[in-house]
Amino acid sequence: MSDTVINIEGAVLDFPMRQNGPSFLKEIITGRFRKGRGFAKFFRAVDGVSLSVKKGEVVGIMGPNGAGKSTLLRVIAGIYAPDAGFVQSSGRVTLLAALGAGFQKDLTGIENCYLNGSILGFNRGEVDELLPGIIEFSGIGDFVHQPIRTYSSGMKARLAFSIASNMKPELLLIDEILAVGDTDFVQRSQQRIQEMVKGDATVVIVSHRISTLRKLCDRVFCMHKGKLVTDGEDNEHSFSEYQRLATEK
Amino acid sequence: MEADEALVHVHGGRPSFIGGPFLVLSNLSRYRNVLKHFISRDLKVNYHGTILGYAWSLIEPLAFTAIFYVVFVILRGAPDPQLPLKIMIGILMYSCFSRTFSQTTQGLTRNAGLIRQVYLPREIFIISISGFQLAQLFLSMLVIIPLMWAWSIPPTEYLLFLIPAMLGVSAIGTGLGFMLAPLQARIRDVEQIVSILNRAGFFLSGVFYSIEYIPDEFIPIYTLNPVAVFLEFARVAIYGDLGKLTLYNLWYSVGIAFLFMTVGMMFFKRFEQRAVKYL
Repeated sequence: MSDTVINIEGAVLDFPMRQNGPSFLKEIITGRFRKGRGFAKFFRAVDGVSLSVKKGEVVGIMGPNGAGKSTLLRVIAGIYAPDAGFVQSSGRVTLLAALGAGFQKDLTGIENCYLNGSILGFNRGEVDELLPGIIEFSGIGDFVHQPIRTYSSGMKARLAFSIASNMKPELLLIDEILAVGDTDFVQRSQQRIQEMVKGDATVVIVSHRISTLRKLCDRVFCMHKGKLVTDGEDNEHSFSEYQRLATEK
Repeated sequence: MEADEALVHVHGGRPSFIGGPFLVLSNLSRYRNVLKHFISRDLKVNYHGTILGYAWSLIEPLAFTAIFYVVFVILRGAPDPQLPLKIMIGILMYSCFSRTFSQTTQGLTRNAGLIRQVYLPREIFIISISGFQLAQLFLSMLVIIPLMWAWSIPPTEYLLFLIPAMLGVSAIGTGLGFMLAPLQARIRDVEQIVSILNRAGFFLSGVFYSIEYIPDEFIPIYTLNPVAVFLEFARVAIYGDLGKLTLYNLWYSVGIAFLFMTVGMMFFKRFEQRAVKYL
């Protein structure tokens, strides 16, 4: 038990298809009381996924667009609770996706560091210790004392990545990053990800880049229409399966 | 950071109705750091960029009182010279309630960006809103110190009634917000309805009049409204006189506040997981 960091069993996640306006009202009034006919239509984004990841493992997930990869990461992070099955994760979870979404634009960079730190479970003193490293890696200099709304989008992304990677995540979920910032920063962030991957963090990466996954991952799964279609035993099989599915479209 | 066992998350299944409030309370104590950060962030951002800062939460009610004094006492010659003070207390209390109600209702939709990005128990967003509004009310209530001095009203031990009164309006707003926040995520029309309800409540809760204007035979009906009772108890606290109220009214309203909070948390925990998918 102790060395299994992620344990997913038969996770299913349905997304409601959003309905607006009068038709939605009609469905509420008429559909709700009619049994057997669901009053909203659903899209099954994750369909019975079972996966268990051990501490320190690096797992890659690939698949064509709309396969449910990003949704699966959010299920692991706990953002969406599965409709069936269960998901168990342990340790500090960090999701690297749309960077900087958690920023408060009227607070300064430093204040945002504290806010983000508290979300990830750090207290003030612990963030104090991490702060120099965060500021240095982000390379935004004196701007950390300015409100976030004065930042360029590249600076925001850099600060966000710097915070997320300096907060020593035990479970890192990476979603298709990171073509932000200048070339230098892209390089440094790739390097940082590799460091984290090689360290003792457990990592799940979602990507379309075979070369990246081949380099980093212990196991690679291919996902299609909400299901894991390969078993992660043979990575090359997953790659070829992915290529087949991607070109099939 | 020490390896703590508290960081094991299990997601899945549906929380039971009964477990809801316990889940909310344990999450709040576990994530109290985040809660503190959110509330202090809101306080910071609120008067961000102003020169006078927090002083505005006192200046605003003071200025209102002055305006009411001119309008009601000088221009209209109201028989009760203390009317401006009563109205002021009413407005402070009621706006805490209405802001808590409408903003907690939007607690999920307004924080959609953060909710989709990191996992936090979603009740944090709701409680941080009501915590902020309550803090604002506490700050603004300090205005009674100069006003009581100006009207030469002696302070009494009745002032302690302010505490249940302020907590009470906050709890009722929060309980309602807990119930409606998941629904608002799904049907955005809810916030419009809430704003209408708030407007109606404004006239039903005795903001611009106080209980002494209510005919005796309607008092039992009037005191069914817990917001009106809490609001009136804030006035009682200042004047040191129960007037037409009894302590029974207070117990009843505190009970209703507890009920709303408990039922609110039950609904919230039951439905928020599904509601989040609509964000």
